Amino acid sequence: MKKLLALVLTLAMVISLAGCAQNAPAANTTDNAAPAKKVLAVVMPNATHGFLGESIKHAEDATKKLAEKYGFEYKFLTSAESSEQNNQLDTLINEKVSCIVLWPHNGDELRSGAQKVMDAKIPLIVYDRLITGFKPTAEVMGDNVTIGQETGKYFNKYFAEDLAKGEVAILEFKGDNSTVPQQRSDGFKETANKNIKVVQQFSTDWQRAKAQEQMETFLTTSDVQEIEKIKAVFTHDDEVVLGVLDAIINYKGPAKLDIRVLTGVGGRRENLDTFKPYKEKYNLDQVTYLFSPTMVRDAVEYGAKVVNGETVSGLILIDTLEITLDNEKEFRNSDIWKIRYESGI
Amino acid sequence: MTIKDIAKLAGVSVATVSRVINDDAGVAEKLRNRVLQVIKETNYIPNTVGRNLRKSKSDMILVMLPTLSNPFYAKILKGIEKRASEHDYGILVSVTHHESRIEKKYLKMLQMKQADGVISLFSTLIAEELNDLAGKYPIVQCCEYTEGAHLPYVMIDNKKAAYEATKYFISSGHKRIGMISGSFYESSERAREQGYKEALMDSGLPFDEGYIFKSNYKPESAMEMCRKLLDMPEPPTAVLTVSDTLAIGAIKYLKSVGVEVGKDMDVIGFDNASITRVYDPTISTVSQPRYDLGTVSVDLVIEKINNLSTVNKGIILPHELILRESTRGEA
Repeated sequence: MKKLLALVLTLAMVISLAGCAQNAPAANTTDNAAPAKKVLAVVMPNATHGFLGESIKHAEDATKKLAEKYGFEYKFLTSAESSEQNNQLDTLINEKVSCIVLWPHNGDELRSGAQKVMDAKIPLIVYDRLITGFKPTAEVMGDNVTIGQETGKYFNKYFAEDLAKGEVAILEFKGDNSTVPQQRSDGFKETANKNIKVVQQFSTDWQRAKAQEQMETFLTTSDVQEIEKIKAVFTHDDEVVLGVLDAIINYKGPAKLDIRVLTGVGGRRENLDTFKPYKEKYNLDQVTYLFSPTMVRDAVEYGAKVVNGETVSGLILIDTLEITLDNEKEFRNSDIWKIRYESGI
Repeated sequence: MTIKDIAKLAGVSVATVSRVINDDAGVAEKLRNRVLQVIKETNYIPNTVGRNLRKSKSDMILVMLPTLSNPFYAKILKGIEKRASEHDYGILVSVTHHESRIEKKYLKMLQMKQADGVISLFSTLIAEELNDLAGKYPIVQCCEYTEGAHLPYVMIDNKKAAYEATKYFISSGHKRIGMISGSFYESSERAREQGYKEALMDSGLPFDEGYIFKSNYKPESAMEMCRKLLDMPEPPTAVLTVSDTLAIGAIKYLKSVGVEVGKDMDVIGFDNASITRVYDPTISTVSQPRYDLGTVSVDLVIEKINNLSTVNKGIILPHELILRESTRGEA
């Protein structure tokens, strides 16, 4: 782990140095010799795979391209944990960078660090995870509440007949303890018919393997009756759906499963690839709500705007899109798909 | 004078004149100067309507207002105008008078290519109709968002704003708070009523729908609502109104019956209209960043004009509770 950390740190340094080297500043100096160079700092958690891993690649690509386009310098820093991220913020404050785009490991643990950035009058754009009770210059995130609301509405329509007769039991596989799953669950509660009963919730840490294990445990330890009651699975993530699907498909127990539909969040190719075959083979319907790792490009773009002297403020929510078997082909032609899967980033 | 005449006078083809007018490359410098000289001498003005039809672009943004009588929109328009001209767009302002027939008539301009995109300050269309349009044309909602619509929007967090205003009343000791809402702007009104309700409930105060009155946004209607509030068996000691015009109506009535605003009764309005700074008493209000609402709407619509399939963004801009003389009182 330590080795990995060291490697990541080195990488972060190399990247930031490369950034400096690539974009040699115009030798502008002010009267008191303070450098007039503009620097955008992008501070992210680290990961090599999954949503976070893909996001980081896009953040880095967007940062490089925007820096080149507008002629500013950049620092791209990743970290393994909150304390390290707080240290990075301290360093950036000392360096008086022009703007910081921050994807916090955890909102609560980054609150004081983020406050210091604001106190130093450095514009701060927070991405994806909210820092509760804290107001940065701007926040950029996927519209998690709408994702929950749309999932609720989808179930209402899908189970209209069953709901008219009585309750529909479902399972919910959540993400972690950040604000993201909370917003999705809250949105779902707002719109879902009162007859939709979440009989059990699981916290997956966004992990496919963990979700699979949790679903297997549910299927092996619950009463037959209890299992047969479940009509749908509401998850917060596409990878989690795949874990749950594995458990369902490999189930060999006595219960006659009646799960008809699973929902995810992401719009990943791997998931979309299962929509048609799983419908034909297992009669399972699937829907996913777009939440793309390319969204982070918007956060970086807002950072670049600030560096360029534009004013950015408030909460910027990036809308979702419902993807089912009916429109998945069309979605594969979208720009988001092309940037994500066909641009080589 | 037509393009043909210019071509004849300059001794070039119509296509060459057209290329010069449209600043296309590929015209020799000498030829270009000759054409420009003829244009200058004849005071020829190209027919942009025809040109835009062929270009399929009008460089115009249609702005739809529900009414002209609300001063609230002036500063938003200023923001829209400024940002649009920075991007070389003109704006067309239309007034729908809350009528979908008129709204639909103006929206046809998109089809006719007389406008490249729309900023709607209020729409009477239902979500399905809007979604249908937004699939084909760049449409942005500003201030009032239609629930279920999939399009970009910019507004403030109306629920939070009303929540904070109500909480302020409660923190000053008020236990019975009235609200003068409205019956036009469904989404913002519902959100503000919800914020008012949640603030009461979070503070352990009873919520009674009877304390919410629906006005038509005219000050006279607020006077009437305020009379009804005072006639209640247990009248409120503070009133939240959903616009400054309504706050003025309420204050006018309170003055007329000898109730001192800021002492016997506290009032908070919405929008921070300029009159709230000079009215007697000066009026506490929730300020919306109107200029920014305008500029951001333009950014959003241009993003869509450039690429219709770009993912929609919803932007919530910060609001501010401004305290003035109308909330001096301790209940």
